[in-house]
Amino acid sequence: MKHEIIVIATDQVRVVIEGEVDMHVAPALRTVLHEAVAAKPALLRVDLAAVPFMDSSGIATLVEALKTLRKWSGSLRVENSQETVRDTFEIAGLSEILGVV
Amino acid sequence: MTQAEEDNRRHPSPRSAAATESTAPTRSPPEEMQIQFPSSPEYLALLRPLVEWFARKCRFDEKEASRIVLCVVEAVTNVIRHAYGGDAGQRITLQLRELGAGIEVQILDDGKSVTPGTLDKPPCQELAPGGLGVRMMRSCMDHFEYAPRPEGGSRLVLRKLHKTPTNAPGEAGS
Repeated sequence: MKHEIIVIATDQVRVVIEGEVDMHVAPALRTVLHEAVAAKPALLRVDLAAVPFMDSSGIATLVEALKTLRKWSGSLRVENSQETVRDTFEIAGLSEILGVV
Repeated sequence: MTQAEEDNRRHPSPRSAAATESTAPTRSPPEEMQIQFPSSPEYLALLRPLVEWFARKCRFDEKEASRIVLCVVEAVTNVIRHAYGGDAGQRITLQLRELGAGIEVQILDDGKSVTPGTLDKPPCQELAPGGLGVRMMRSCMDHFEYAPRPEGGSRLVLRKLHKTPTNAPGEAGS
């Protein structure tokens, strides 16, 4: 899994993820999101345009990041997800919570 | 001519040669395959294209095939995590079978069984994804059956049926 963390503004961080996310890759995603969340942004934008597959391990990692963000009323927004991944969020019933757009 | 018929024509087995001599119409047997692999998460990436290919062969469209792939990944992940407690050196068997009405997936392990009733956790709390994989499998598949095996380990049977009632091979399905 490749990634990039971009600080957009003092209160906004964008993380770009590339590659499939499953149980094997989820620990790496967790580390990336942990790093992004450490800056205590008000909004964490997670760009999944280059993620063709994500399972519940990946979703759990996003949920974990959101729980941390909520400690200071921050939020998370999943952006540009591919149709298959968007469908997975729907099946999980977490599209709204994860701010999937 | 299907690939199986083509292969059979080029390399006929004694049984198929006998069948050719008879006047009875021949039909390809349902597709079926089985693989065994170690309980290591790195194998998940290898399973995905295989399961997707098989699901498409069973006439599922791209979206449905993707959901079947997702369910297999969730099931294997659960085996690695719960039945084997993360031990990557154990064995998992995946069986894929074409049904006239759809597809059947079986996942067998030799690990620790889970009491079937405990698989169903309460409905999703807003930020509690525990048990998410099982919920997703139940949501996507038409049949979910988990049971300990008498010889040890467990067997999970998942079935996905075509949406239309016309399920015979060769007929249109959606």
